[in-house]
Amino acid sequence: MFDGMYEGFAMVFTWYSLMLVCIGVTAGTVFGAVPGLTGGIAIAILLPFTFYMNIVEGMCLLGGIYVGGEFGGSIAAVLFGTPGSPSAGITVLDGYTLAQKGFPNKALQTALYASAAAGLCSSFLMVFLSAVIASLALLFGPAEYFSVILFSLVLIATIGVTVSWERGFIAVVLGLLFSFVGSDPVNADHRLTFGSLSLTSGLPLIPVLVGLFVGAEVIKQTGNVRPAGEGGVRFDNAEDRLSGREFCSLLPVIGRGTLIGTVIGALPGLNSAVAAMLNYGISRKCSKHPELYGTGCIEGIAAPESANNGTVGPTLCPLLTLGIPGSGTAALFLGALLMQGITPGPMIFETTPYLMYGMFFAFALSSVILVVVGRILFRGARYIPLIPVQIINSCIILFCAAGAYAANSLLSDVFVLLFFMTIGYFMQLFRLPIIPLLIAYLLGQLLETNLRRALLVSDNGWAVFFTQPLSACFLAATAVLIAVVAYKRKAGREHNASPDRE
Amino acid sequence: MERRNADLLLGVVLVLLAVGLDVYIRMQPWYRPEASVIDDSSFFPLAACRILCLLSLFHLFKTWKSRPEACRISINGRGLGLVLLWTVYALCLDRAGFLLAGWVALSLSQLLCGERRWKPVLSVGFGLPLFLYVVLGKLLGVSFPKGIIFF
Repeated sequence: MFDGMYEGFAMVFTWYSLMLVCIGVTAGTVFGAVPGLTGGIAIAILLPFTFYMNIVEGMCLLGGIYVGGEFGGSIAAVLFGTPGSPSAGITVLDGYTLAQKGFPNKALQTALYASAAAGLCSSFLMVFLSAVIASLALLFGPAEYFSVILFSLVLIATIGVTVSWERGFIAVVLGLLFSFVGSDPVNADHRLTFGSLSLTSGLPLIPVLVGLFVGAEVIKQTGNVRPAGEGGVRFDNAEDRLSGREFCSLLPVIGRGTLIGTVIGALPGLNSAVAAMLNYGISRKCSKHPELYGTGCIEGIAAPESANNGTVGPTLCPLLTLGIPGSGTAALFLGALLMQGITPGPMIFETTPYLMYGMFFAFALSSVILVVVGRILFRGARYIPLIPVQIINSCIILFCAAGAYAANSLLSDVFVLLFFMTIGYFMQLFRLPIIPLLIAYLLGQLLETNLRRALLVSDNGWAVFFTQPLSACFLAATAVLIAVVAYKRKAGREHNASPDRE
Repeated sequence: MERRNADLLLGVVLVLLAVGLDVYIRMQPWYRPEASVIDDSSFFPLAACRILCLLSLFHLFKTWKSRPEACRISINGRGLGLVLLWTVYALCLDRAGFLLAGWVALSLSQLLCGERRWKPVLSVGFGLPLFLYVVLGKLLGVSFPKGIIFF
């Protein structure tokens, strides 16, 4: 364990990796700050280029973007009252109010320090927790894997979506269908290729990920024109800074945010926006002055910001330990790992321990560098949300096209990218969630392979899924989840139909 | 289009897709209904098609029973125009080359997105493809199509 830790540490703390982290944090912060763009989009754009780096360096770049993106959303929230990302939605309440009172710098500093502290703590927490979780994951055979993937897909289709559950399931099934394109894992039959030779090895990973992640936003925003110019907030108040005493008073809120972020982040299907909202609510309840929340108090900024950055490391926990991405960003990280020929799972601790620890050290380092980069970006921050989106969107498409082509030097990948951009746009238009499709697409082959492998081992006996204790537990959990969702739906329908409501 | 009509349209499209795929799979040589799940390449795709069909029918039924919503949806024609423009770019990429195709497509793309100031259109339109060509093509060794510009 300590050898791997040392190796990971040494690989992250090189000048090249440090430079990549700086680039990543800056890009993530800028993308997070522009309303309509997110850190996830920045990861998707730069993902193909990590193919030309070693895996730890690639993770440094992507980790930096992720950390920067989670914080960046708060810049637009504080300065313009428009959250740059969904997780910064609740930061608007106190952040924007404080900025309007003449303390924009204090609001941004609170968000920055809370984000960095929580990100740093949760990353170190994950260095130790992941090893424990992975040791449990070593108990998993094909039957257990099938059950846990099924559970994750149901979780993501039900809990992870804000629209109705059947739309979540439809997205999952569509993702599974896309994953079946290409050679069958057992018989090597060419399935659903429609005669196309370029599809025999399956749909190319990067164009699908990038197209779905980026396409919907870019196409939706086409035609929205925002002129470049200066923002209205001034940084000319001499007392506009966060004192050391004030920061110390925030430590309980940040500590709570770290814990909530770690737990929420490690659960598949729940995102940083949930963690931010939860910590805001709990902090308000625990506060001696709950009436101050919403009036521009620094606790109201630190609570959501610490929780959303606290999810950063733990989000990758299910991916690294079980090979199951629990969120859209984790799916992009999975893409980066697969592109380098690394399949995440419990064995990753045995085969490439340096990568595991390197990733969490990269997140920790990104949190430290975020403080430096964030402070530099503050002065120019008022201009960031005003970058003309009409130019950015065009540049994004060229970046994506170049990235899709660069991965395999195949022109057909660019067509796949454009096809999935369109699919992503129409899915958003028709309120079909994209993330469940993305995750199902990534897990489909794994689901099928493990089912067939389990049946092969048990001589075609389906009972193996119920006789293995861990597998049975996950199947029972899946059944309970479906029952709870069905019950809540029924209860909701009865509540809507009750005469009191009418 | 009204939101409810859009949802109905979605349901119909998905049902047609599921049924169409089901029929297509049954016509393929890898459809072996007599084989066990372990050997049957069509088991999972067929199962997915059937589940999709059931879910889509449920969605249709639920939408049919629901009240019409006040909100409407509209397709962003410019956005789809942008996809079309980049499809043409992809078609021309081999012949025109990464740089020339990128210059034209990026400049037109900015105009289509609503940018009217010619300075940013030209500077970004020419600068970014060149930057990508240098960074990716020359430093990282990606072999972009050269087309009619030979460097």
